[in-house]
Amino acid sequence: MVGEAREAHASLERHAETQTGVKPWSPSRGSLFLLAAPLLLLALFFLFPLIWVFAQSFSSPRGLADTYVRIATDPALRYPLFYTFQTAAIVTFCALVLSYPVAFLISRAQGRWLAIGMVLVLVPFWTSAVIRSYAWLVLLQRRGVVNEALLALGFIDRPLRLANTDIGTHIAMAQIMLPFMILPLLSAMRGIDPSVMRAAAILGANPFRQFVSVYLPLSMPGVGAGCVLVFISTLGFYITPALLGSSSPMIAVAIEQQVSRLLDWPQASALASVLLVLTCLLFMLYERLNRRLAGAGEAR
Amino acid sequence: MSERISRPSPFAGGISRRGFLAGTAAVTLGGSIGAPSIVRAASDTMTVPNSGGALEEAYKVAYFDTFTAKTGVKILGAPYMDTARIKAMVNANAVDVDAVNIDFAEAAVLAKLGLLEPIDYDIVPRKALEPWAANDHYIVSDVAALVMGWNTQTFTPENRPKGWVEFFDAATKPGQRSLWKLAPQTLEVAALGAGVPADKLYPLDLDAAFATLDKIKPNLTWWTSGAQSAQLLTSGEVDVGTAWNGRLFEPKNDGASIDYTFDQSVFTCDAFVVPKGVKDKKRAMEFLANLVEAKNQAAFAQHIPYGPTVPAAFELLDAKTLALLPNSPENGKTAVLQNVQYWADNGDELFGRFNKWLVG
Repeated sequence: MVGEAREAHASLERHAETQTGVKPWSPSRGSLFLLAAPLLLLALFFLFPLIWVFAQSFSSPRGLADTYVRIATDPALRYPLFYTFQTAAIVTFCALVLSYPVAFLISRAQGRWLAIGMVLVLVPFWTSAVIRSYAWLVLLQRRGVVNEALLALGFIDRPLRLANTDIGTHIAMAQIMLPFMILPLLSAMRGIDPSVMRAAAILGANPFRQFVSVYLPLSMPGVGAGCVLVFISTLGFYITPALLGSSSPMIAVAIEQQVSRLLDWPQASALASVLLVLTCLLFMLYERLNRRLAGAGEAR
Repeated sequence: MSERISRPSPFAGGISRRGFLAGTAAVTLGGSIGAPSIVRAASDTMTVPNSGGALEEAYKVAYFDTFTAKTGVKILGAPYMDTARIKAMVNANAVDVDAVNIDFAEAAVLAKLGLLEPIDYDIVPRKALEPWAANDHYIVSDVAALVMGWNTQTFTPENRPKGWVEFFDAATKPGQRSLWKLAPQTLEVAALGAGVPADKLYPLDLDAAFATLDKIKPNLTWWTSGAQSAQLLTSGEVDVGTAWNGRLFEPKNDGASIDYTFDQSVFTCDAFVVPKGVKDKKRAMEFLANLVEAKNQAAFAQHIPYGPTVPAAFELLDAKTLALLPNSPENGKTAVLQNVQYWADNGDELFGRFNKWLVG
């Protein structure tokens, strides 16, 4: 079933190609020169410092690979890495579950409702994460809005501990990440041809079947892009866990402590390198998975 | 620890708002004029990075302006430089500042790493200073304190936890606690909470300290910034916790439901250092000598509730000011001074063990 939907999708794409009749753009030798300046900029200010950080991770006075041995053996360095990836996974899942229906509604909307929907997504997106983290603190604290409301309604007898816990941090991070999930979903969903859904209906699929067999597979590129975006952004969270966090440290906080408190730059570089490599591996895995799925669709 | 200072809140009353605007103006001024002057390095100006905000205002009145009046040299503030930045600057042989205000624990680390010029005590009058404030590579300029604060809706001065031992006894004094999520000062408080006498605090009894921290783990909220420590107490998120006195003094004045005590406080201080390779070493030392003058130290303490390190300055202060200072003869009776040399020597081990405890 999934395969059929993919085939439908692929045929739509082929259809679009033949319709425009234009070859996809490819860089000529001349236009490569245009890339020289940005490439140089990237090499100087991105690639070179990155290599320098990686090289520095081997410069510990305690020994060549000592920094990596410590990450593997010292729970105070290893746990933040685990906790960061765990947090990113939870936040990504929550953001996806919350975003999917929102993106679906907005993708169906027209005219004024579409504009209102977009504003509701974009205004938080343009608001600083620091301000939103503080707002969550005001909402979640012991004498905050959420607790006062729950107490007044009689749902609880004693205030819940929400701020400065893992739950509070996950709630705030997921909310901050929502636009990064909704926007890719929206772009995928608006690209879904409504006639495909009508065709499924005509062929006798009930709404649930229409969704599972046609709509969901067609929206998968948006799901994938949104998840990768949210997951990788969450790995670097600093201010929200610092304001709302529990006792567990995110990796960014651990790196900062190595840099500015302990002045152990090789150790900080090693932590950063491990984070970078793990992130790249995950991204490559996603790309491969994506290509294989897409390839399978083409082959049918 | 650039943020022990209480930056006046824009949400508070009229005076605070003015203070805030003045602070913002000072920062903007520092930013816009500071940057090009570093490039020009004109001989009639000095650049002194510092903690900014209310602290910079006090430094300006007490030390910067008086130095300018004496020598004609203008002092430009600049954003706080932590240990990492000074290390990078000195290692790159690009010292473009003249003297630096920095937390004294960071100063001790920099001294240990050999990144500072030795203080020239032929120019700086050593005898004027408290003996512990006059170090080979840094002078301690003022004394702040980590104190116990509490929310007055939960505790009164009578039934609050008396001292750190009761602070860690959640059974007899129920309530949510808060501590700084960092090893320094928090481990001192925990050791005191284990009943270690103040004069035997160092080397820290780590086993006792962590056993004490274990006792309140279920009732503990961590703070990671000075603003947060005060916010937790004023909002009632926690009932009793540690905070720097400079952070609690303003909200208490503004009528927030908090109070604090200097009993068993942990002194944590500001220092001034001269990075190695500074352009004009003699002038930097003269700047430090100006810090050590009793009347300037007294003027400083009148602007911000941090105590002088020049004993003679206390005689120039009235009772009302003295009551706010952590190290006034009355307030400082039961306090301990953070041993920053101990932290500079054992930082790796102490931070490592604390972090391990956090994730354990």
